[in-house]
Amino acid sequence: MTDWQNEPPPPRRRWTLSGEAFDRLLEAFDSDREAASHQYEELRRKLIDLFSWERSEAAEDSADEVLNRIARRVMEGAQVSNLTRYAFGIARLVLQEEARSRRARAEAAYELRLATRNEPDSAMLELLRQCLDALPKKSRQLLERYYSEDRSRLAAAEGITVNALRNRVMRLRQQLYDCVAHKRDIS
Amino acid sequence: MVNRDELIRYLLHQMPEDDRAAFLDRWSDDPELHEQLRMAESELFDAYAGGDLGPEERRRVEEYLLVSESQRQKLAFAEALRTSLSRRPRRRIVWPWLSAAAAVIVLAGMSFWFESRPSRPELRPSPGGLYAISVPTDELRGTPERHRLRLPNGTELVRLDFQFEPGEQAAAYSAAITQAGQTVWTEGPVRGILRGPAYLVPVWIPATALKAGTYEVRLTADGKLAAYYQFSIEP
Repeated sequence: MTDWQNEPPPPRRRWTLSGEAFDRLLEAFDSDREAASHQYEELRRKLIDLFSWERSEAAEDSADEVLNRIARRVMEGAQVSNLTRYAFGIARLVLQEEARSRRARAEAAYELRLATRNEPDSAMLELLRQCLDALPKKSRQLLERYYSEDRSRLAAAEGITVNALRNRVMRLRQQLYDCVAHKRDIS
Repeated sequence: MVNRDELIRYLLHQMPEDDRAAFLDRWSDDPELHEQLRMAESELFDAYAGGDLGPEERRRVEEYLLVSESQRQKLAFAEALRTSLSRRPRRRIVWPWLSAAAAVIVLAGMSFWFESRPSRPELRPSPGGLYAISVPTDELRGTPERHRLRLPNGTELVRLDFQFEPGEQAAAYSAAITQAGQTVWTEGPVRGILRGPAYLVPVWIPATALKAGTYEVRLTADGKLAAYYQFSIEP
């Protein structure tokens, strides 16, 4: 085994995102601040998913790294016509940088989880209970039935297609997930 | 509208790389497709938490969707959701696919039952438990009699980690496992992993593919033989 395989990946060049750089980045999205913020969040969410689905161990950090690099390029005067496409191009570079050490660390984490995990996370259960309680009764009942009953029958009972039922439940599920994530972040 | 199978193939890395890159370009520009992917991912985690996936899909979820803590939180959420919402009596799940009735045994470093080595402490997999031992590299290339494996009852999936000498590794391998000249399992590309000082190439095999007998394993890289192993499965 060569030495470089034992070494951690080289540290990324750090460039601090200043308030001015962030403002310039938002302007690059849209001249309207609110629209720009929405587009920024949407792109960040996409990037987090991209990194998650490409086996990144720290998807949010990687997404922020991409956004920082774009902000830096914008500060340097770069004209970016399609920010999403540009961001995904940079994301590919970041992924390549991560690739070398990612697999070994993932394997170690997997073994640890196999050995130690056995029951649903009790803290997660409690947060979920709070979020479920905050849902309208009808929505909660739909979720309960979806996860307990035959879905074709449930769709027929609701007067919708199975696919429409699925979409409805998945949106509710995402709402619950966001609620739990928010509570976890602030706890 | 994208076929749901295509979404799953993307998430589980079952597409050729070119198709995968093209698919990525599509969803990066298509908010609806992005949303469909998120839903498909949620359903995968739900199915995983409910023990509803087959061995190969489970393995792929493990390998591709559970790498980071944030992804594991998604699984924890799916498990909590099922626990909270399911009104049916549910079997107790130790690990989604790891139960006494259907154990997944991870065999690390060609973890064989060395009956010919009485000096080695006896290692018996407990029902539903994790069975993992490491074998030094120089023990890997002997006669099959030295590498005898007995699969415990209930084993569904076996992972064999083929160990390489330092400095031998290639970017990716193809694995072919044969018994009496008949191919019983092929897999590729398989990428090696570093575990501590060891370089291992993991190959997952359904236990049903491993009947009693002697097996040969060939790992090739770029069409050339990279490593050769033998082992035997006891009745």
